[in-house]
Amino acid sequence: MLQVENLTIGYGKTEVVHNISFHVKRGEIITILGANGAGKSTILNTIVGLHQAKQGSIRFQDKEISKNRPDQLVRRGIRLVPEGRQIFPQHSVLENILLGAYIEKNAKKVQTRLQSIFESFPRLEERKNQMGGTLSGGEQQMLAIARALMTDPSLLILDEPSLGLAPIIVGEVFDLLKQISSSGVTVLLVEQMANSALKISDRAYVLETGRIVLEGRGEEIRTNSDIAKAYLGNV
Amino acid sequence: MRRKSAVSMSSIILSLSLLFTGCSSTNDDTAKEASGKPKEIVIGNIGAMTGSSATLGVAQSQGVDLAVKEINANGGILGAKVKVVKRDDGADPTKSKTFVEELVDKEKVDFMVGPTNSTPAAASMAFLQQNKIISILPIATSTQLINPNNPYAFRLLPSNAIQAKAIVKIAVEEKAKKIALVADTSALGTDGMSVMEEAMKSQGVTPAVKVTYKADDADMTPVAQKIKDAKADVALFWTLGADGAKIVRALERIDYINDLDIIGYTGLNMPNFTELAGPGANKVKTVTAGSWALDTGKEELAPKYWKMYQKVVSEYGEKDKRDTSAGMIAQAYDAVYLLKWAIEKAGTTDSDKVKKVLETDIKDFDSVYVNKYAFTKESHEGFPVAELLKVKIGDMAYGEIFKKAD
Amino acid sequence: MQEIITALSNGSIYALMALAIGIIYSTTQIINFAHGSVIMIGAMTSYWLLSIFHMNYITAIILAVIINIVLSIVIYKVSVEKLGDLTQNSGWIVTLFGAGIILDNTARMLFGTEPKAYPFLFDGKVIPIFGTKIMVHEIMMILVAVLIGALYQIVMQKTNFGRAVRAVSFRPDTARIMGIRSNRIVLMCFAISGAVAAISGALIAPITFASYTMTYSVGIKAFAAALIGGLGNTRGAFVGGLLLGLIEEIANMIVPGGFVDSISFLIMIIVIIVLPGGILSAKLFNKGELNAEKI
Repeated sequence: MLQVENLTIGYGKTEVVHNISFHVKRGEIITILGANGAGKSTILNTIVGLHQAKQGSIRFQDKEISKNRPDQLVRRGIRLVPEGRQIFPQHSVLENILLGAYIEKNAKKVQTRLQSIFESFPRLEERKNQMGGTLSGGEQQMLAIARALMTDPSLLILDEPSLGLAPIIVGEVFDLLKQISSSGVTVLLVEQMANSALKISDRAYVLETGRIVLEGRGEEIRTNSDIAKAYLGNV
Repeated sequence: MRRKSAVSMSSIILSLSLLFTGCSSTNDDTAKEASGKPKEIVIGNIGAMTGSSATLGVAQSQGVDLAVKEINANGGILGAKVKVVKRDDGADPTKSKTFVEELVDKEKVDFMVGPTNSTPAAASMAFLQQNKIISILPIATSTQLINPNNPYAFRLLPSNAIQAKAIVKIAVEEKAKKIALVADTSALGTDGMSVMEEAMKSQGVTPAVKVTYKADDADMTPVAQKIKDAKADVALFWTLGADGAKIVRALERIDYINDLDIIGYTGLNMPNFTELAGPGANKVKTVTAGSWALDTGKEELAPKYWKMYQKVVSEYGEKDKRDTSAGMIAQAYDAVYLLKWAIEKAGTTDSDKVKKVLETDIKDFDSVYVNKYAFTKESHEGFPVAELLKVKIGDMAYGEIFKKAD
Repeated sequence: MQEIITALSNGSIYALMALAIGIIYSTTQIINFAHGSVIMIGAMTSYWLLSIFHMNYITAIILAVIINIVLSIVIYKVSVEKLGDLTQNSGWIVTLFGAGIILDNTARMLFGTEPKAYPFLFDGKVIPIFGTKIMVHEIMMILVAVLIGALYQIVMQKTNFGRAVRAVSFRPDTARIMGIRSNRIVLMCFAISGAVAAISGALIAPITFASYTMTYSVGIKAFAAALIGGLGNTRGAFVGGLLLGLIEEIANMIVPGGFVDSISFLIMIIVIIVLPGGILSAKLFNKGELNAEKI
């Protein structure tokens, strides 16, 4: 579904990501692991069109997308749940969700979609008139995911969904991702917190200072303590 | 500089020869011949010919060029051709000073007309005095330009101080009981306020109220209100046209315009003042050179001024085509003829001699702008206070000639 | 009474200008220093259409609005968009000032330096109320300002576009991953502020007269009003505008003219020091909410 080949990304003259390649198959949950500063967010921002790559290709459903704008990619079915969730704090919960459907001009479709979102996230419906900024961290993460699901994406990309959340809540979030995946959405996530992520992942890549140093099945990487020691620190 | 010393050397020889030969006119001519009659007289013409003050510099040039063309066609000055060197300072004092230095040092000008704007004129004054260049100021109004430190500068138009004297005099003569002084807080307004106060003092009256405001303010109601609160019957406006018009509207708004007469300095006048100020404009007067204002019912000025006006029109077109002021052109034209007259009377281009003629014999000069200029040894302000007359604002014949107010 | 009406009508001028400044600030965090010039162009074009082509008032204003929208888009394209990330450089300060100067000089060449009498609404009709005379034009100024402000609030709070504007003003990149084309939204904001400027111009010009310098003095006060109310906060723009109108009227009674502006700006500085987010960021107005609500 998504093929990234020989991708090099940089800011100005400094290169952050060096010549990496990876792929995501339809229906998979893929995790890219890496420490802070490894270049994870840069890769995701480049895939969704916020940042332009220096070299390399990104193909989505067999079409080159590396020159596309974010709004074009949203239309194509790629959605990013950004790092830190980035809920609009001064918009109500409902408005946050509606913003997720900004490109959908058909009001009826938006309403249907909103209904099904509220069914899956009853807590959000309860709080729909509350300001986004007043939600708890876990609720905000739910909102960020719900917002991204408003356009019925085929590829959902999440940038450190566990960041800053209590362990119980992290579990909830990953359960939710598994559920989303089983409904047919392909999931790509980057994480520092390897353990929970690897549990639900089909495959994983390990990123170190802008290079992919390891690839393997999720369970395999999780249980191999050498790998954990070498690349992931305290897992 | 070298030329300058040559001139003063020749003037020494001239004076010596005068001593020996006496003062008969024939001898005088011989003496000049002997001392080397000027082959060419160079007049510098400097002013803002581009930018927002462009009409001033262009008017000055039009007047200078017209006069020089006539003079050269009629044999020049003392038989010498007149050459004009023109510079556009764009009203920028730094540029102006550099150009003045260039004109004096490189172009060897003997006399100067301009600069047109007050700040550039102030910037170049010292240099002109050091080099003893007589400069005639036909346009700059700043009071300070003419003072004993600038012995070679002569001004033709009414300075701020003279205008203030004139409007105060008119108000006092009309038996105003309470006079309000109105000026903005710019350099221009501050100068205006102080010259008006001085003029009031010398007439022995005190203002009922002094009102200041920031130039270009949108809301002039407070200004109007203060005039009303002081129960003034005459207000003297040292304001620019648009601001003055706003104050007139505000006065009308608070129902005070009918209890008030307004006399403004010349800067208050602008062609569409009536349109801007609305019906209250008929209560507003300004002052202008009496010789260039029409008597009630008349359609022409007195013959010699009318002839000059016709000359301007035939040379440069009607007001709407020309954009420059005919009066200003006449002043610049006067400036050149004034120099011609003084040089011929002195029989030399020597600055001190020409200066002396201007100071002592000015009553003999036949101006096309005023009846008589008023230069004395003590004052180089040429415009006579008595010749500034009250005129209706915004009501002009031919788009530029005032009608006298009753 | 006279003073209150003057304060309100002057205040609504400042409010309209501050609103347009705020519209652009909220999405870009930049201050449109060319705004005064855009207002002037709006006034000068409608003046021309009215006096030279003898159009009726409404048609002239609509055309001026259209011209101003195009002009604002050009200003954005030429002097803002090309600069890239506005949080990373301050080139816009110079480019927008430059754009203003170009507009002023162009207007001077096209329309001349002489101020023109711009028609008041309803021919400058005055109605006597409470022993003073109030111009219908002034009442209209207040009404139009309130109407535009209210309309803008409704659009901002109730429409998709409004939500998107607020999203972009919070964080453009997050808005972009929602599928919002942030620079399109910014462009629209420039267009709206241009349209508001044309209307402000037509309302201000009868008072200041139409000339290329007509907004020099009110323009700078509009920035003060925007800062007093809270930059980018449109409700704040109204509070700031009306407050400034009142401050000026009161100052006028106390200090000699020419010092009034010093008082206004002194108060502006005090407000910014005490409440950096403007008057509306005061606790009093926010009942424990996060901070001053933008827009």
